[in-house]
Amino acid sequence: MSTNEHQFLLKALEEGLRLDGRKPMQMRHLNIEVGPDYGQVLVSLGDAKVVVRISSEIVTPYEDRPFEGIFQVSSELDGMGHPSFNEASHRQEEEVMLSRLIEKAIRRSNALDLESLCIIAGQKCWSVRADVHIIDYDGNMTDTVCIGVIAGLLHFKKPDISIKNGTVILHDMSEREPVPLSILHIPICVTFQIYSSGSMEDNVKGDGREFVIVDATLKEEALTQGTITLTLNSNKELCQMSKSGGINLEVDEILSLTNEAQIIVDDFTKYIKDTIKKDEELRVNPLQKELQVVNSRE
Amino acid sequence: MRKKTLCSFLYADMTESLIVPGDRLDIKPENIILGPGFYVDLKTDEIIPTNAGILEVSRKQNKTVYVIDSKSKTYIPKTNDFVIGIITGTFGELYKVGLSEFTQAAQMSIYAFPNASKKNRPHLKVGDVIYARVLSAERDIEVELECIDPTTGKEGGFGQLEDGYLFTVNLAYARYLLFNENAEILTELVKKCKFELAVGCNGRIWIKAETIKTTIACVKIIEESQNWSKQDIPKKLKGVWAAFN
Repeated sequence: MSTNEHQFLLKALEEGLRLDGRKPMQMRHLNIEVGPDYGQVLVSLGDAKVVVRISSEIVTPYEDRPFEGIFQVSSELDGMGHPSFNEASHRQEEEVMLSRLIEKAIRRSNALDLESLCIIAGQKCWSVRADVHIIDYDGNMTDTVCIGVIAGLLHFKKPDISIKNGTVILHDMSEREPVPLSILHIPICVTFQIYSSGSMEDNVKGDGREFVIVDATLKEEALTQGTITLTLNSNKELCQMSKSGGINLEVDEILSLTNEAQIIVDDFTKYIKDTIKKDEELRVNPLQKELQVVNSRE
Repeated sequence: MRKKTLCSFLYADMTESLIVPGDRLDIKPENIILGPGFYVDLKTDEIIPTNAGILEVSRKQNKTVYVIDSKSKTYIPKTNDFVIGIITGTFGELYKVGLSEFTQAAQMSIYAFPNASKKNRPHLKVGDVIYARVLSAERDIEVELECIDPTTGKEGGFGQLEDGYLFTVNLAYARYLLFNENAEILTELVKKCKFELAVGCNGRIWIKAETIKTTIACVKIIEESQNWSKQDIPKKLKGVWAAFN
Protein backbone atom coordinates (compact mmCIF):
# COMPACT_ATOMS: atom_id res chain seq x y z
CA MET A 1 0.00 0.00 0.00
CA SER A 2 1.44 3.32 -0.99
CA THR A 3 1.21 6.53 1.03
CA ASN A 4 -0.64 8.03 -1.94
CA GLU A 5 -3.46 5.51 -1.60
CA HIS A 6 -3.51 5.90 2.16
CA GLN A 7 -3.85 9.67 2.04
CA PHE A 8 -6.37 9.54 -0.80
CA LEU A 9 -8.59 7.14 1.09
CA LEU A 10 -8.62 9.30 4.22
CA LYS A 11 -9.28 12.50 2.23
CA ALA A 12 -12.13 10.75 0.42
CA LEU A 13 -13.62 9.60 3.71
CA GLU A 14 -13.55 13.14 5.06
CA GLU A 15 -15.77 14.08 2.13
CA GLY A 16 -18.00 11.08 2.75
CA LEU A 17 -16.82 9.30 -0.41
CA ARG A 18 -15.69 5.72 -0.82
CA LEU A 19 -13.47 4.33 -3.54
CA ASP A 20 -16.17 2.26 -5.20
CA GLY A 21 -18.70 5.08 -5.10
CA ARG A 22 -20.68 3.69 -2.15
CA LYS A 23 -22.02 5.82 0.67
CA PRO A 24 -20.44 5.28 4.11
CA MET A 25 -23.37 3.17 5.37
CA GLN A 26 -24.02 1.28 2.15
CA MET A 27 -23.38 -2.46 1.96
CA ARG A 28 -22.18 -4.15 -1.19
CA HIS A 29 -24.59 -6.26 -3.22
CA LEU A 30 -25.45 -9.52 -1.47
CA ASN A 31 -26.10 -12.62 -3.56
CA ILE A 32 -26.93 -16.06 -2.14
CA GLU A 33 -27.13 -19.25 -4.19
CA VAL A 34 -28.42 -22.36 -2.45
CA GLY A 35 -28.28 -26.00 -3.43
CA PRO A 36 -28.26 -28.41 -5.06
CA ASP A 37 -27.52 -30.25 -1.80
CA TYR A 38 -29.32 -29.22 1.38
CA GLY A 39 -27.06 -26.94 3.40
CA GLN A 40 -24.89 -25.94 0.45
CA VAL A 41 -24.62 -22.17 0.09
CA LEU A 42 -22.54 -19.78 -2.03
CA VAL A 43 -22.57 -16.24 -0.64
CA SER A 44 -21.03 -13.25 -2.36
CA LEU A 45 -20.92 -9.79 -0.82
CA GLY A 46 -19.52 -7.70 -3.65
CA ASP A 47 -16.33 -9.53 -4.63
CA ALA A 48 -16.00 -11.43 -1.34
CA LYS A 49 -17.09 -15.05 -1.96
CA VAL A 50 -17.66 -17.84 0.52
CA VAL A 51 -18.94 -21.42 0.18
CA VAL A 52 -20.50 -23.04 3.25
CA ARG A 53 -21.49 -26.69 3.55
CA ILE A 54 -23.50 -28.02 6.45
CA SER A 55 -23.31 -31.72 7.31
CA SER A 56 -24.61 -33.89 10.14
CA GLU A 57 -23.86 -37.22 11.74
CA ILE A 58 -25.00 -39.15 14.80
CA VAL A 59 -22.54 -39.22 17.69
CA THR A 60 -22.41 -39.62 21.47
CA PRO A 61 -23.13 -36.31 23.26
CA TYR A 62 -20.63 -34.68 25.64
CA GLU A 63 -20.72 -36.19 29.12
CA ASP A 64 -21.49 -32.89 30.83
CA ARG A 65 -24.24 -32.03 28.33
CA PRO A 66 -26.31 -35.18 27.83
CA PHE A 67 -29.40 -33.34 26.56
CA GLU A 68 -27.66 -31.28 23.87
CA GLY A 69 -26.32 -31.96 20.40
CA ILE A 70 -23.01 -30.66 19.06
CA PHE A 71 -22.43 -27.79 16.65
CA GLN A 72 -19.05 -26.85 15.19
CA VAL A 73 -17.94 -24.25 12.69
CA SER A 74 -14.70 -24.83 10.85
CA SER A 75 -13.30 -21.94 8.82
CA GLU A 76 -9.82 -22.04 7.39
CA LEU A 77 -8.05 -19.30 5.50
CA ASP A 78 -5.80 -20.52 2.70
CA GLY A 79 -4.09 -19.28 -0.42
CA MET A 80 -7.25 -19.67 -2.49
CA GLY A 81 -8.85 -16.74 -0.75
CA HIS A 82 -5.87 -14.46 -1.00
CA PRO A 83 -2.16 -15.08 -1.74
CA SER A 84 -1.10 -13.40 1.52
CA PHE A 85 -2.59 -16.33 3.43
CA ASN A 86 0.14 -18.63 2.24
CA GLU A 87 2.29 -17.15 5.00
CA ALA A 88 1.36 -18.74 8.32
CA SER A 89 1.87 -15.63 10.49
CA HIS A 90 -0.68 -13.40 8.78
CA ARG A 91 -3.17 -16.21 8.44
CA GLN A 92 -3.18 -17.23 12.11
CA GLU A 93 -4.32 -13.85 13.41
CA GLU A 94 -7.12 -13.46 10.87
CA GLU A 95 -8.30 -17.04 11.32
CA VAL A 96 -8.58 -16.71 15.09
CA MET A 97 -10.46 -13.39 14.87
CA LEU A 98 -12.85 -14.77 12.27
CA SER A 99 -13.68 -18.03 14.06
CA ARG A 100 -14.04 -16.20 17.38
CA LEU A 101 -16.58 -13.76 15.97
CA ILE A 102 -18.61 -16.46 14.20
CA GLU A 103 -18.53 -18.55 17.38
CA LYS A 104 -19.95 -15.69 19.44
CA ALA A 105 -22.49 -14.64 16.84
CA ILE A 106 -23.99 -18.01 15.98
CA ARG A 107 -23.05 -20.58 18.60
CA ARG A 108 -23.20 -18.58 21.79
CA SER A 109 -26.31 -16.69 20.73
CA ASN A 110 -28.10 -20.06 20.47
CA ALA A 111 -29.25 -19.54 16.91
CA LEU A 112 -29.27 -23.33 16.52
CA ASP A 113 -31.30 -25.04 19.23
CA LEU A 114 -28.89 -27.67 20.52
CA GLU A 115 -31.51 -29.46 22.62
CA SER A 116 -33.47 -30.24 19.48
CA LEU A 117 -30.45 -32.21 18.28
CA CYS A 118 -30.74 -34.71 21.11
CA ILE A 119 -31.94 -38.19 20.09
CA ILE A 120 -31.48 -40.40 23.14
CA ALA A 121 -30.32 -38.44 26.18
CA GLY A 122 -26.77 -39.27 27.14
CA GLN A 123 -26.34 -41.78 24.32
CA LYS A 124 -27.05 -40.41 20.87
CA CYS A 125 -27.32 -36.94 19.44
CA TRP A 126 -26.80 -35.10 16.18
CA SER A 127 -23.50 -33.38 15.51
CA VAL A 128 -23.96 -30.55 13.00
CA ARG A 129 -20.88 -29.18 11.31
CA ALA A 130 -20.46 -26.06 9.18
CA ASP A 131 -17.45 -26.06 6.85
CA VAL A 132 -16.56 -22.64 5.53
CA HIS A 133 -14.42 -22.25 2.40
CA ILE A 134 -13.27 -18.77 1.54
CA ILE A 135 -13.08 -18.51 -2.23
CA ASP A 136 -12.35 -14.80 -2.62
CA TYR A 137 -11.13 -12.62 0.21
CA ASP A 138 -12.15 -9.00 -0.35
CA GLY A 139 -12.60 -7.53 3.08
CA ASN A 140 -15.40 -8.01 5.58
CA MET A 141 -15.22 -11.79 5.72
CA THR A 142 -16.93 -11.75 9.13
CA ASP A 143 -20.26 -10.59 7.70
CA THR A 144 -19.98 -12.78 4.61
CA VAL A 145 -19.13 -15.92 6.59
CA CYS A 146 -21.88 -15.25 9.15
CA ILE A 147 -24.50 -14.90 6.43
CA GLY A 148 -23.18 -18.07 4.80
CA VAL A 149 -23.34 -20.13 7.99
CA ILE A 150 -26.80 -19.00 9.05
CA ALA A 151 -28.21 -19.34 5.53
CA GLY A 152 -26.66 -22.81 5.34
CA LEU A 153 -28.23 -23.80 8.65
CA LEU A 154 -31.63 -22.51 7.53
CA HIS A 155 -31.38 -24.41 4.24
CA PHE A 156 -30.00 -27.66 5.67
CA LYS A 157 -32.18 -30.70 6.27
CA LYS A 158 -31.07 -33.75 8.23
CA PRO A 159 -32.34 -37.29 7.59
CA ASP A 160 -35.45 -38.29 9.50
CA ILE A 161 -35.02 -40.76 12.36
CA SER A 162 -37.33 -43.01 14.37
CA ILE A 163 -36.69 -44.87 17.58
CA LYS A 164 -37.86 -48.48 17.93
CA ASN A 165 -37.15 -50.42 21.13
CA GLY A 166 -34.18 -48.27 21.99
CA THR A 167 -32.62 -48.54 18.52
CA VAL A 168 -32.30 -45.47 16.36
CA ILE A 169 -33.35 -46.00 12.75
CA LEU A 170 -31.94 -43.54 10.26
CA HIS A 171 -34.22 -43.09 7.25
CA ASP A 172 -32.87 -42.44 3.81
CA MET A 173 -33.72 -39.08 2.16
CA SER A 174 -35.76 -40.86 -0.51
CA GLU A 175 -37.70 -42.89 2.06
CA ARG A 176 -38.76 -40.07 4.31
CA GLU A 177 -38.67 -36.29 3.86
CA PRO A 178 -35.58 -34.87 5.56
CA VAL A 179 -36.14 -32.59 8.52
CA PRO A 180 -34.97 -28.96 8.81
CA LEU A 181 -32.96 -27.79 11.83
CA SER A 182 -34.56 -25.85 14.65
CA ILE A 183 -33.27 -22.29 14.19
CA LEU A 184 -34.42 -19.99 16.97
CA HIS A 185 -33.36 -16.66 15.44
CA ILE A 186 -31.28 -15.35 12.54
CA PRO A 187 -28.22 -13.44 13.76
CA ILE A 188 -26.40 -11.37 11.15
CA CYS A 189 -23.07 -9.63 11.72
CA VAL A 190 -22.46 -6.06 10.56
CA THR A 191 -18.84 -4.90 10.69
CA PHE A 192 -17.80 -1.24 10.74
CA GLN A 193 -14.34 0.25 10.28
CA ILE A 194 -13.27 3.41 12.10
CA TYR A 195 -10.85 6.02 10.78
CA SER A 196 -9.61 9.22 12.36
CA SER A 197 -8.41 12.35 10.59
CA GLY A 198 -6.59 13.74 13.59
CA SER A 199 -3.73 12.36 15.62
CA MET A 200 -3.97 9.64 18.27
CA GLU A 201 -3.80 12.32 20.95
CA ASP A 202 -6.77 14.17 19.52
CA ASN A 203 -8.75 10.98 19.37
CA VAL A 204 -8.03 10.04 22.98
CA LYS A 205 -8.87 13.53 24.21
CA GLY A 206 -12.11 13.47 22.26
CA ASP A 207 -11.10 16.31 19.95
CA GLY A 208 -10.59 14.24 16.82
CA ARG A 209 -13.03 13.58 14.01
CA GLU A 210 -13.88 9.94 13.42
CA PHE A 211 -15.37 8.42 10.28
CA VAL A 212 -17.18 5.13 10.26
CA ILE A 213 -17.92 2.99 7.21
CA VAL A 214 -19.70 -0.32 6.86
CA ASP A 215 -18.61 -3.38 4.85
CA ALA A 216 -15.02 -2.44 4.01
CA THR A 217 -13.22 -3.79 0.95
CA LEU A 218 -9.70 -5.20 1.23
CA LYS A 219 -8.05 -1.80 0.66
CA GLU A 220 -10.28 -0.02 3.14
CA GLU A 221 -9.64 -2.78 5.68
CA ALA A 222 -5.86 -2.49 5.28
CA LEU A 223 -5.98 1.12 6.51
CA THR A 224 -8.44 0.63 9.33
CA GLN A 225 -7.70 2.15 12.72
CA GLY A 226 -10.48 0.37 14.60
CA THR A 227 -13.11 -2.28 13.98
CA ILE A 228 -16.49 -2.83 15.60
CA THR A 229 -18.76 -5.78 14.81
CA LEU A 230 -22.39 -5.76 15.86
CA THR A 231 -24.56 -8.84 15.51
CA LEU A 232 -28.31 -8.26 15.48
CA ASN A 233 -31.41 -10.17 14.45
CA SER A 234 -34.70 -8.97 13.00
CA ASN A 235 -36.31 -9.15 16.48
CA LYS A 236 -34.39 -5.97 17.29
CA GLU A 237 -32.07 -7.89 19.61
CA LEU A 238 -28.32 -7.31 19.91
CA CYS A 239 -26.74 -10.79 19.97
CA GLN A 240 -23.12 -9.78 20.35
CA MET A 241 -20.87 -6.77 20.13
CA SER A 242 -17.13 -6.80 19.59
CA LYS A 243 -14.64 -3.95 19.52
CA SER A 244 -11.12 -5.19 20.16
CA GLY A 245 -8.92 -2.18 20.74
CA GLY A 246 -8.52 0.34 17.96
CA ILE A 247 -9.23 4.06 18.25
CA ASN A 248 -11.94 5.38 20.52
CA LEU A 249 -15.45 6.01 19.32
CA GLU A 250 -18.10 8.08 21.06
CA VAL A 251 -20.90 6.18 22.73
CA ASP A 252 -23.58 8.14 20.86
CA GLU A 253 -21.93 7.13 17.62
CA ILE A 254 -22.08 3.45 18.61
CA LEU A 255 -25.77 3.73 19.43
CA SER A 256 -26.47 5.27 16.04
CA LEU A 257 -24.48 2.44 14.45
CA THR A 258 -26.87 -0.09 15.99
CA ASN A 259 -29.70 1.71 14.21
CA GLU A 260 -27.83 1.54 10.90
CA ALA A 261 -27.07 -2.12 11.52
CA GLN A 262 -30.73 -2.87 12.23
CA ILE A 263 -31.79 -1.54 8.82
CA ILE A 264 -29.15 -3.69 7.10
CA VAL A 265 -30.03 -6.78 9.15
CA ASP A 266 -33.76 -6.48 8.41
CA ASP A 267 -32.98 -6.17 4.71
CA PHE A 268 -30.66 -9.18 4.65
CA THR A 269 -32.93 -11.36 6.80
CA LYS A 270 -35.76 -10.82 4.34
CA TYR A 271 -33.51 -11.69 1.41
CA ILE A 272 -32.22 -14.88 3.09
CA LYS A 273 -35.71 -16.05 3.94
CA ASP A 274 -36.97 -15.32 0.41
CA THR A 275 -34.07 -17.20 -1.17
CA ILE A 276 -34.68 -20.30 0.92
CA LYS A 277 -38.42 -20.15 0.35
CA LYS A 278 -37.93 -19.90 -3.44
CA ASP A 279 -35.60 -22.89 -3.37
CA GLU A 280 -38.11 -24.90 -1.34
CA GLU A 281 -40.86 -24.12 -3.84
CA LEU A 282 -38.69 -25.35 -6.69
CA ARG A 283 -37.98 -28.64 -4.93
CA VAL A 284 -41.56 -29.56 -4.11
CA ASN A 285 -43.19 -31.30 -7.04
CA PRO A 286 -46.99 -30.75 -6.70
CA LEU A 287 -47.83 -34.18 -8.12
CA GLN A 288 -45.37 -35.86 -5.80
CA LYS A 289 -47.04 -34.19 -2.85
CA GLU A 290 -50.44 -35.58 -3.90
CA LEU A 291 -49.12 -39.12 -4.11
CA GLN A 292 -47.10 -38.98 -0.89
CA VAL A 293 -48.45 -41.09 1.95
CA VAL A 294 -48.34 -39.31 5.25
CA ASN A 295 -46.22 -41.45 7.58
CA SER A 296 -47.55 -41.97 11.05
CA ARG A 297 -44.91 -41.46 13.70
CA GLU A 298 -44.62 -44.21 16.27
CA MET B 1 -5.98 -32.74 -39.10
CA ARG B 2 -8.96 -30.46 -39.28
CA LYS B 3 -7.24 -27.84 -37.15
CA LYS B 4 -4.23 -27.82 -39.48
CA THR B 5 -6.28 -27.02 -42.56
CA LEU B 6 -8.27 -24.38 -40.65
CA CYS B 7 -5.08 -22.72 -39.55
CA SER B 8 -3.45 -22.79 -42.95
CA PHE B 9 -6.50 -20.97 -44.28
CA LEU B 10 -6.15 -18.37 -41.56
CA TYR B 11 -2.45 -17.89 -42.17
CA ALA B 12 -3.19 -16.55 -45.60
CA ASP B 13 -4.21 -13.39 -43.79
CA MET B 14 -2.50 -13.71 -40.46
CA THR B 15 -3.69 -10.59 -38.73
CA GLU B 16 -5.96 -11.17 -35.73
CA SER B 17 -5.91 -14.98 -35.76
CA LEU B 18 -6.13 -17.08 -32.62
CA ILE B 19 -2.92 -18.89 -31.77
CA VAL B 20 -2.25 -21.58 -29.16
CA PRO B 21 1.22 -22.69 -28.00
CA GLY B 22 2.73 -25.17 -30.43
CA ASP B 23 0.94 -23.90 -33.54
CA ARG B 24 3.09 -23.88 -36.66
CA LEU B 25 3.38 -20.40 -38.02
CA ASP B 26 5.85 -20.72 -40.91
CA ILE B 27 7.31 -17.26 -40.37
CA LYS B 28 10.50 -16.63 -42.28
CA PRO B 29 13.10 -15.21 -39.87
CA GLU B 30 14.17 -12.33 -42.15
CA ASN B 31 13.31 -8.70 -41.56
CA ILE B 32 11.05 -9.38 -38.64
CA ILE B 33 10.65 -8.04 -35.14
CA LEU B 34 9.31 -10.56 -32.63
CA GLY B 35 7.27 -9.31 -29.72
CA PRO B 36 6.44 -11.16 -26.51
CA GLY B 37 4.99 -14.65 -26.77
CA PHE B 38 7.53 -16.28 -29.09
CA TYR B 39 10.42 -18.65 -28.66
CA VAL B 40 13.10 -19.16 -31.26
CA ASP B 41 14.43 -22.72 -31.38
CA LEU B 42 18.21 -22.54 -31.17
CA LYS B 43 18.90 -25.43 -33.51
CA THR B 44 16.33 -25.05 -36.24
CA ASP B 45 15.66 -21.28 -36.01
CA GLU B 46 11.98 -22.10 -36.00
CA ILE B 47 9.69 -19.52 -34.45
CA ILE B 48 7.29 -21.16 -31.99
CA PRO B 49 4.51 -19.40 -30.08
CA THR B 50 4.59 -19.95 -26.32
CA ASN B 51 1.50 -17.99 -25.30
CA ALA B 52 -2.12 -18.43 -26.27
CA GLY B 53 -3.66 -15.29 -27.69
CA ILE B 54 -4.38 -13.18 -30.74
CA LEU B 55 -1.58 -12.85 -33.29
CA GLU B 56 -1.08 -9.27 -34.41
CA VAL B 57 0.91 -8.55 -37.52
CA SER B 58 1.94 -5.03 -38.44
CA ARG B 59 4.68 -3.28 -40.37
CA LYS B 60 7.24 -0.94 -38.87
CA GLN B 61 10.13 0.53 -40.85
CA ASN B 62 10.17 -2.16 -43.53
CA LYS B 63 10.06 -4.94 -40.97
CA THR B 64 7.10 -7.11 -40.08
CA VAL B 65 6.24 -7.08 -36.40
CA TYR B 66 4.68 -10.17 -34.86
CA VAL B 67 3.13 -9.92 -31.41
CA ILE B 68 0.94 -12.36 -29.51
CA ASP B 69 -1.22 -10.44 -27.10
CA SER B 70 -2.79 -12.48 -24.34
CA LYS B 71 -4.82 -11.37 -21.34
CA SER B 72 -2.60 -11.78 -18.33
CA LYS B 73 -2.34 -10.11 -14.95
CA THR B 74 1.00 -11.38 -13.68
CA TYR B 75 3.76 -9.01 -14.65
CA ILE B 76 7.16 -10.41 -15.68
CA PRO B 77 9.75 -7.62 -15.81
CA LYS B 78 11.51 -6.95 -19.12
CA THR B 79 14.30 -4.52 -19.89
CA ASN B 80 13.13 -1.09 -21.05
CA ASP B 81 9.64 -1.42 -19.63
CA PHE B 82 8.23 1.67 -17.95
CA VAL B 83 6.80 0.67 -14.59
CA ILE B 84 5.13 2.15 -11.52
CA GLY B 85 6.66 0.88 -8.30
CA ILE B 86 6.13 1.37 -4.59
CA ILE B 87 9.17 1.76 -2.30
CA THR B 88 9.06 -1.13 0.16
CA GLY B 89 12.41 -0.66 1.89
CA THR B 90 15.64 1.30 2.07
CA PHE B 91 18.91 -0.50 2.61
CA GLY B 92 21.90 1.78 2.60
CA GLU B 93 22.53 2.68 -1.02
CA LEU B 94 19.64 0.67 -2.38
CA TYR B 95 15.89 1.04 -2.56
CA LYS B 96 13.66 -2.02 -2.66
CA VAL B 97 10.78 -1.36 -5.01
CA GLY B 98 7.69 -3.55 -5.28
CA LEU B 99 6.40 -3.90 -8.84
CA SER B 100 3.50 -6.17 -8.01
CA GLU B 101 2.11 -7.70 -4.84
CA PHE B 102 3.58 -11.04 -3.69
CA THR B 103 6.50 -11.04 -6.09
CA GLN B 104 10.11 -10.39 -5.24
CA ALA B 105 10.95 -6.69 -4.99
CA ALA B 106 13.14 -5.00 -7.56
CA GLN B 107 16.20 -2.93 -6.68
CA MET B 108 17.04 0.66 -7.43
CA SER B 109 20.30 2.34 -6.59
CA ILE B 110 20.13 5.80 -5.00
CA TYR B 111 22.42 6.95 -7.79
CA ALA B 112 19.87 6.05 -10.49
CA PHE B 113 18.56 9.61 -10.52
CA PRO B 114 19.62 12.71 -12.45
CA ASN B 115 22.37 14.68 -10.64
CA ALA B 116 22.65 12.04 -7.94
CA SER B 117 25.72 11.94 -5.73
CA LYS B 118 26.66 11.00 -2.18
CA LYS B 119 25.69 14.48 -1.02
CA ASN B 120 22.59 14.72 -3.22
CA ARG B 121 20.39 11.82 -2.16
CA PRO B 122 16.80 11.44 -3.39
CA HIS B 123 14.14 12.02 -0.70
CA LEU B 124 12.23 8.79 -1.14
CA LYS B 125 10.58 7.01 1.80
CA VAL B 126 8.82 3.67 2.22
CA GLY B 127 5.37 3.92 0.64
CA ASP B 128 6.32 6.45 -2.04
CA VAL B 129 5.25 5.81 -5.61
CA ILE B 130 7.76 6.14 -8.44
CA TYR B 131 7.74 5.98 -12.23
CA ALA B 132 10.83 4.12 -13.38
CA ARG B 133 12.41 2.20 -16.24
CA VAL B 134 13.56 -1.40 -15.99
CA LEU B 135 17.32 -1.29 -16.39
CA SER B 136 17.95 -5.03 -16.35
CA ALA B 137 15.74 -8.07 -15.93
CA GLU B 138 17.80 -11.24 -16.13
CA ARG B 139 16.79 -14.66 -14.87
CA ASP B 140 17.82 -15.47 -11.30
CA ILE B 141 19.10 -11.93 -10.62
CA GLU B 142 17.06 -9.21 -8.98
CA VAL B 143 15.44 -6.78 -11.34
CA GLU B 144 17.07 -3.35 -11.46
CA LEU B 145 15.30 -0.06 -12.03
CA GLU B 146 16.38 3.49 -12.72
CA CYS B 147 14.72 6.90 -12.80
CA ILE B 148 16.79 8.49 -15.55
CA ASP B 149 15.91 8.92 -19.20
CA PRO B 150 18.70 6.92 -20.93
CA THR B 151 18.88 9.18 -23.97
CA THR B 152 18.97 12.57 -22.28
CA GLY B 153 20.35 11.74 -18.84
CA LYS B 154 17.63 13.94 -17.34
CA GLU B 155 14.45 13.17 -15.43
CA GLY B 156 12.28 12.57 -18.51
CA GLY B 157 9.05 12.05 -16.61
CA PHE B 158 10.54 9.48 -14.22
CA GLY B 159 10.75 9.93 -10.48
CA GLN B 160 8.27 10.28 -7.66
CA LEU B 161 4.53 10.53 -8.32
CA GLU B 162 2.96 12.59 -5.58
CA ASP B 163 -0.66 12.50 -4.37
CA GLY B 164 -3.22 11.05 -6.71
CA TYR B 165 -4.41 7.44 -6.58
CA LEU B 166 -3.03 4.09 -7.71
CA PHE B 167 -4.96 1.16 -9.19
CA THR B 168 -4.37 -1.87 -11.43
CA VAL B 169 -5.72 -3.08 -14.75
CA ASN B 170 -4.80 -6.15 -16.77
CA LEU B 171 -1.45 -6.03 -18.55
CA ALA B 172 -2.72 -5.96 -22.12
CA TYR B 173 -4.90 -2.93 -21.36
CA ALA B 174 -2.06 -1.12 -19.64
CA ARG B 175 0.17 -1.66 -22.70
CA TYR B 176 -2.63 -0.43 -24.94
CA LEU B 177 -3.07 2.76 -22.90
CA LEU B 178 0.66 3.36 -22.72
CA PHE B 179 1.45 2.97 -26.40
CA ASN B 180 -1.66 4.50 -27.97
CA GLU B 181 -1.70 8.26 -27.51
CA ASN B 182 -5.17 8.46 -28.99
CA ALA B 183 -6.77 5.70 -26.95
CA GLU B 184 -10.49 6.39 -27.20
CA ILE B 185 -11.19 6.06 -23.52
CA LEU B 186 -8.66 8.76 -22.65
CA THR B 187 -9.67 11.20 -25.38
CA GLU B 188 -13.30 10.87 -24.26
CA LEU B 189 -12.43 11.16 -20.57
CA VAL B 190 -10.41 14.33 -21.06
CA LYS B 191 -13.57 16.01 -22.39
CA LYS B 192 -15.14 15.55 -18.95
CA CYS B 193 -12.31 16.62 -16.66
CA LYS B 194 -8.61 17.42 -16.48
CA PHE B 195 -6.32 14.72 -15.11
CA GLU B 196 -2.71 13.62 -14.93
CA LEU B 197 -2.05 9.99 -15.80
CA ALA B 198 0.91 7.61 -15.58
CA VAL B 199 0.66 4.06 -16.92
CA GLY B 200 3.08 1.27 -16.02
CA CYS B 201 3.70 -1.91 -18.01
CA ASN B 202 3.20 -3.79 -14.75
CA GLY B 203 -0.50 -3.02 -14.96
CA ARG B 204 -0.44 -0.14 -12.47
CA ILE B 205 -2.01 3.21 -13.29
CA TRP B 206 -1.51 6.44 -11.34
CA ILE B 207 -4.05 9.20 -11.75
CA LYS B 208 -4.50 12.68 -10.30
CA ALA B 209 -7.59 14.73 -11.07
CA GLU B 210 -8.84 18.01 -9.66
CA THR B 211 -11.13 16.74 -6.93
CA ILE B 212 -11.50 13.50 -5.01
CA LYS B 213 -14.84 12.85 -6.64
CA THR B 214 -13.56 13.26 -10.19
CA THR B 215 -10.56 11.05 -9.38
CA ILE B 216 -12.82 8.26 -8.12
CA ALA B 217 -15.06 8.64 -11.18
CA CYS B 218 -12.04 8.43 -13.53
CA VAL B 219 -10.71 5.34 -11.73
CA LYS B 220 -14.06 3.59 -12.01
CA ILE B 221 -14.40 4.49 -15.69
CA ILE B 222 -10.94 3.23 -16.62
CA GLU B 223 -11.37 0.02 -14.60
CA GLU B 224 -14.73 -0.78 -16.14
CA SER B 225 -13.70 0.22 -19.66
CA GLN B 226 -11.49 -2.88 -19.80
CA ASN B 227 -14.65 -4.74 -20.80
CA TRP B 228 -16.21 -2.14 -23.09
CA SER B 229 -16.13 -2.27 -26.87
CA LYS B 230 -14.92 0.80 -28.80
CA GLN B 231 -18.39 1.84 -29.95
CA ASP B 232 -19.85 1.67 -26.45
CA ILE B 233 -17.22 3.94 -24.87
CA PRO B 234 -18.92 7.37 -25.19
CA LYS B 235 -22.30 6.09 -24.01
CA LYS B 236 -21.05 4.00 -21.10
CA LEU B 237 -18.61 6.68 -20.00
CA LYS B 238 -21.50 9.13 -19.80
CA GLY B 239 -23.47 6.63 -17.72
CA VAL B 240 -20.74 6.08 -15.12
CA TRP B 241 -19.92 9.82 -15.01
CA ALA B 242 -23.55 10.71 -14.38
CA ALA B 243 -23.70 8.27 -11.47
CA PHE B 244 -21.01 10.31 -9.74
CA ASN B 245 -22.39 13.77 -10.30
